Amino acid sequence: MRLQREKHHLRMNEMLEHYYSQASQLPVEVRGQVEKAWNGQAVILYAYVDLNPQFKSQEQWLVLGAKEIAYVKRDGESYTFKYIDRKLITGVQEIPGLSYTRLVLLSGDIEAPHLVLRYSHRQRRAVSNIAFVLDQQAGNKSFNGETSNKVSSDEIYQESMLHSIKEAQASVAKNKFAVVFRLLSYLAPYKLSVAIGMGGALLMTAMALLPPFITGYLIDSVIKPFQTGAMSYEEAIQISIYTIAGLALTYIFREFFAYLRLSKMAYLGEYVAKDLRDHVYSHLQKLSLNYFSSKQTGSIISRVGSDTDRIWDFIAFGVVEVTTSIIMLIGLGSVLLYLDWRLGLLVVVPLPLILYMIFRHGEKMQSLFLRAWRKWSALTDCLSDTIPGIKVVKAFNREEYEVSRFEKRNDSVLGEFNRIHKAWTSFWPLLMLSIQAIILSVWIFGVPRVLSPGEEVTALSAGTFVSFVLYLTMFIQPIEIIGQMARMVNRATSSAHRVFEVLDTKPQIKDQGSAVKLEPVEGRVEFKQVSFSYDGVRQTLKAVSFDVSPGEMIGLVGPSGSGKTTLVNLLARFFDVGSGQILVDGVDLRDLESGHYRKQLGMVLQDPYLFHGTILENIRYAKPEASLDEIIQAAKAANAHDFIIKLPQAYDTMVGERGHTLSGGERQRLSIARAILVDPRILILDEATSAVDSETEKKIQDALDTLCKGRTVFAIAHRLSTLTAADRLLVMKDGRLVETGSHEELLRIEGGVYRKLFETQQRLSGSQFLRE
Amino acid sequence: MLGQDANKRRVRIVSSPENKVSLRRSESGLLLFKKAGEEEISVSVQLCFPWSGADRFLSLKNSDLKEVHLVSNLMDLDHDSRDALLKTMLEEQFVFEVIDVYDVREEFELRVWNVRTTFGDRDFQTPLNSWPRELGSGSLLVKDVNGDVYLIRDLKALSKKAQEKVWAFLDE
Repeated sequence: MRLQREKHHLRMNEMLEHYYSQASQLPVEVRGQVEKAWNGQAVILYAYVDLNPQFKSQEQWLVLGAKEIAYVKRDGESYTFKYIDRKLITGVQEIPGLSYTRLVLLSGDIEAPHLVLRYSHRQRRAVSNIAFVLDQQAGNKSFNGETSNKVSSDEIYQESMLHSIKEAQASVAKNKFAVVFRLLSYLAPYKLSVAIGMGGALLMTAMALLPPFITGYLIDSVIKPFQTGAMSYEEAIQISIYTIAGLALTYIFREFFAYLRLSKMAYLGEYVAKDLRDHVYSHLQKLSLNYFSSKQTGSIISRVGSDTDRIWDFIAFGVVEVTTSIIMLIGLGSVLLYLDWRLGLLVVVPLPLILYMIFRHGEKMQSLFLRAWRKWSALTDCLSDTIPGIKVVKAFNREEYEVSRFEKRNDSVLGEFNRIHKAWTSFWPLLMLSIQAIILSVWIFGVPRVLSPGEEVTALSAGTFVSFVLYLTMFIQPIEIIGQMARMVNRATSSAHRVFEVLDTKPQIKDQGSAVKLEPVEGRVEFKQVSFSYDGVRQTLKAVSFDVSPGEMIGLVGPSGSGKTTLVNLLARFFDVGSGQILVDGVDLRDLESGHYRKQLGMVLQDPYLFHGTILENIRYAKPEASLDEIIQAAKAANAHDFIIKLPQAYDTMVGERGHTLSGGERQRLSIARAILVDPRILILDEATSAVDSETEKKIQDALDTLCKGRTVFAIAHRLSTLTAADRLLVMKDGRLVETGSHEELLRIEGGVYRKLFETQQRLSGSQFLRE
Repeated sequence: MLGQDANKRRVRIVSSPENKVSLRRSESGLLLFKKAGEEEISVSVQLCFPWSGADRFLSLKNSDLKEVHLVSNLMDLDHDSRDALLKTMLEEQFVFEVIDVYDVREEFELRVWNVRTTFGDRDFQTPLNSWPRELGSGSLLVKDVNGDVYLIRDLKALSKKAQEKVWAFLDE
């Protein structure tokens, strides 16, 4: 665990240096001085401040301690320190500008605040953490000023700095080769296939080098001796037959090796892609909820889909093509120099220049493609704007404007694509002309030597010359492939990197080796001083304590953002508590086997999710072994049976994406049936009836009443009238449990949070009634 | 007819003693706002049109970022107030002004810009599918993943090499 944290810390350091060239942590000298001034009390949080009052770059640090805040400024080689008592700060202002934020630590005197700092938005998250703590303290919002004790100030600083980068990107890998090697390690289980595939590719390349050589041999050793009378017709025919047979064999072997290479590597690529898909998907299932909330769904899907597909392409073809092309070029160069070093040099020397030309062309094309992509994006933006917003377009009579906007962008796209066509259609003939110029120079220098008397040192045999010319034609393909190598490797490493980022993410919820199974869960729940923070700084739950008896129904109420959903998320162990304990039947939730525990937990959410499949499959989702009888009983208990049997295909009706469209209330009742089937001991209802009309709500409420019987229930509801059946209400505000009691007890609290909420809702429903 | 009606509706708000406002800067650089009969407060300036009309329609906001006054024209203010507001506006308009572009490269879902600004050399990152914005009059605006704004005020003033680097992001 410690090793993992250190590795993570090192990676964060690397990323900070790589992207921002900024100190990856508070300088040791500064930390030492500050902690000394604070009598050894540790730094809680710190942030880098990069702009001085003149908006010039200057190293400054804002450091938060338990009692004071330190402002540290670098002046030349030394630092100056200013300490401010936290209690003296009467307020905090964060004022965002175009590209900087101003932080003002107020003193009560408008003319003389304690501190005014300016920093670029890059630093905002880290500074904002400190501002939040100071603001809470200044506002006397019962904030103890402590951050999550699990996270160090260095970690919070680094995470804050890199938050935007990590949101936009998978993570970082500076060394592309390391990614390629890791990717290639997936070939390990298929060593034999790799050996056959690569062997096939190499032999295919070797075979490709033979025909020109054999042709040269046929000319020099058969045709020429026969023409000069040095060989008889019979002998020439006989050798020719053998030679041609040999040539035929090289072609046959070449295609056989090509088959070996293609089939083995294509299958291999599929296997590796399948392994990766399985690996990524099963790992995704283990990851904690915050991983999914920090990434876009599309980004996660593409990692399992298109990224693994690109990797297949790279392994199946890229690796072999690049390897064989390099070998082919080296082989060709060597053979040419062996056949005739003078002509060989004519070909080999300009080769780097040609490769450079292709590289430069690639760069230019990249720029052109970038422009085309940008213009294409603008065109598709136009579509994604107007198609969903077509009503607005028509209502404001802007059809003509939209058509002209589209045409303008379309013309722009056309212009860019034409530019691309112009670039490649002019480059490739030019490149070919250069290669043909080399071939021509071989003819120019070669022919006089072929025609010169045989006794001259520079004389060249006709066969060697023909071989030479044939070899020259083989140069083009490997040059093309090598020219595209950088692009291919970039695409593959980028995809591999995104896939590895998923695989390298560690699940935050882990069962201990000696995890306990509660059989069955009785349903006693105890929160003991539970605090929790999603980001390590802002406390979403603050020292929440309560006890719930088995079978008790608890209503959770409070304004939005008060911590109700966080509380039930902790109870479901989607996250672990920051501090304190949650006990279920007297056992710490972290000591329970989470899979077994969740089987005894039911959840009905505000927006129930149905998978693509039949109603039967959806109800059965939580208990695959449930009998048809059990399914019908559950559906009846959930008030769902009646609407299901009205559908022509009843329980076999397809629902979910592309399936039959069910109303919100119907979907909710299916999710209740699903929960009933599991027979959970602890039930969580999170706004289960908030998105439906009154009539549907009544049906759902009846279903919920059935579901709640004999279980410990935690029900969140904004509409307080839906919680009348609750044994007890817990009222949350700003992450704290502020009131507890029955509906009547809470109403009796003068100026109480619940009473205010209730009165507001009464007024609203009254005015709505009047409107209706 | 319609034009005449529209002209009639164009009403200019003339300052009167009741709505007279004054602005000054404190020593620490805060902009202080005073409305007749009200307490002096610290305000921030939000330019309503930072790129299409920066010198008009300036929203003055209190510490809760709520508008306390809208300055539609700087000339509506007295000399001292205008002076104080102009100084603050210059600060509010702070962006990283790019004077050279060394490199723009792609790196795992990010476009990494290595530039020289009036602030010094700086690397910043934009998502691959986020594009710079041409402001007209030869300026280019780039917003990075953190929300920092980088402005190339005059593309033609860049070196030829730098112009080549940003060419892919221009319309022409």
